[in-house]
Amino acid sequence: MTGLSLLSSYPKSGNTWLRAVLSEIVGAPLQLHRGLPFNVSANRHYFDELMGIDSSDLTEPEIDVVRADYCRALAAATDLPRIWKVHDCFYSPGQDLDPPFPPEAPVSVTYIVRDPRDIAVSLANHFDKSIDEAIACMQDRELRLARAGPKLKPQLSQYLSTWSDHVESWLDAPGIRLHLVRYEDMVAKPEEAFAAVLHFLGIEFDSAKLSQALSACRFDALQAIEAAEGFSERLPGVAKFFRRGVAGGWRDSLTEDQVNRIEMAHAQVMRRLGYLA
Amino acid sequence: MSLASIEERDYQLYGWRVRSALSLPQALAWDGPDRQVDVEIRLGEVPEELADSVLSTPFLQIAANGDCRLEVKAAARYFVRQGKEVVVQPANGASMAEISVFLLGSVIGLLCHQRGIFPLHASCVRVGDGAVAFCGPSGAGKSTMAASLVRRGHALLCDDITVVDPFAPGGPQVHPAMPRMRLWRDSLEALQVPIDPLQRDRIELEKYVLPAKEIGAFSKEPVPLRTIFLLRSANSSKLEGVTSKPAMETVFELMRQVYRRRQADILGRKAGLFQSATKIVDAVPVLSLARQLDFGLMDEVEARVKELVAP
Repeated sequence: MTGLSLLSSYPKSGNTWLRAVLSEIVGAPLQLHRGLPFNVSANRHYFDELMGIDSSDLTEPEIDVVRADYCRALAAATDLPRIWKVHDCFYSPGQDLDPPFPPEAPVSVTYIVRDPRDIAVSLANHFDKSIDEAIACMQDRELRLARAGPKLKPQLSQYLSTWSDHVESWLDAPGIRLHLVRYEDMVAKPEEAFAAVLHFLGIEFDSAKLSQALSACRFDALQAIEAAEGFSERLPGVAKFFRRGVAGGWRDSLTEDQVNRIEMAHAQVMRRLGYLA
Repeated sequence: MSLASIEERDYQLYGWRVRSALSLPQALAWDGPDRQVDVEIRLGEVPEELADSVLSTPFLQIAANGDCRLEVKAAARYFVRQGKEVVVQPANGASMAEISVFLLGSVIGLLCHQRGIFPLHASCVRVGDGAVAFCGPSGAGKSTMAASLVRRGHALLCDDITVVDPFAPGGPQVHPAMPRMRLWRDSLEALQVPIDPLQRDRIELEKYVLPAKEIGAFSKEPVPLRTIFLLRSANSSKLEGVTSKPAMETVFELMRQVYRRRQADILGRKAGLFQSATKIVDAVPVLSLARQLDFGLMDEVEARVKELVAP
């Protein structure tokens, strides 16, 4: 079985930026309105194709129980990409279910973490919610992305759990090869942080190519493309996907009470990652 | 479900005469000439698994001889053989709607590939005297696009699966499926269709069965295929021109739009699909349409469609 390489993160942690840089490095044209390469593995289309069924006629529990089988099929499909974006928690929502990415299938996981205080601000923008609602989402053990509702979503429902659970589920996942990258390092020392990811993924590059890719994917450059052409991954009703792209922006966006709530809920994992002293 | 109450009836689906022991209220009764039955659907036992399967997923197995076995635990097991025989073993407590939703979806796809014909993942309407197909992955808006054209007075041909006969004497032709569409709540709301009277195939999902007559008409006759649109979702709606790609690239693009493409390959249809797609691309323009789930572009789309299908 050929392995998969996952670009995993809680939403709004820099996954898309990483994918944009990778697509520049591998020479795919940056067409945000058509979507980035390294599609999300929860994309319904691949599930339907590989499983031989229409997921739009299946219930959430019916899909949950076969997510591990889907991952194995994805890993075995040699004509499909090897690198996939992932927002799922490592664990399944059901205790007796295999994780959606059973350890024997993926070879490697690049896990991106970001300060949860910055995520709260970004998540609120992305889902068009208030910051308080975003903070509550990040503490919700039942949280899912792309839940079935009145509209068919292009992605399968993905179980996230809380921000802390999400991070620890991947960091402590048994039997996977993991590379941890901090969003803050991607901002502060991009050459180094991105080079480490590329090495981990086994993608060949030289420093000139990396500099060119980083400059093509500078935040203001991505913002300009989004403004001119749109971005297919932006949700309806949201003005900007690429909003600010800074580390530590929460300082001027959150109230003291909001900061306290996040730090209380996620203290242990924030300390583990150096976000709290 | 009581088997004793089952009575065989003949239906018309994709131009086939389908004899079914299961009632298929979404399909039209056969009223064509008394010719041979093309597909027979009966009730019976379906084995736990297929011997020597070359594909095995939690839902579908395909045997080396091309026999297929589909199972959705809450609905039924389906055994599909030689493009003309379907055995259905309903699950305990499954409703007729649950049983038929996979029969009229995945099973149709398997039958098509076993029969060696060309099913597009597309919804299709008759505009003037030609058929216009909207292809795209789930969620791209195929049914919604078709429904809004039906609403504007054009007749429905197919929803979700469009079967094309590329080698029909007058050029590629579309055979009508069923006089119904399946739409999610948000699309029905956008179309301002009252939702309360509508049935759902699966009670857990907000996907409703909309009889074509609620919003317009259905075409019972086969119609020549005139245009294929490739739909993709976008932040803003944009009708792009006829694809200027080299024809070969368009052929491969069209092959990607085949319903259950991977299973077709396993059933030995790769070369056949290529021939069919080549024939279609020779005869029919393929356009790309980026759209948001809004109806802002419908005037433009409709005008463009009419212009393209005009003789």
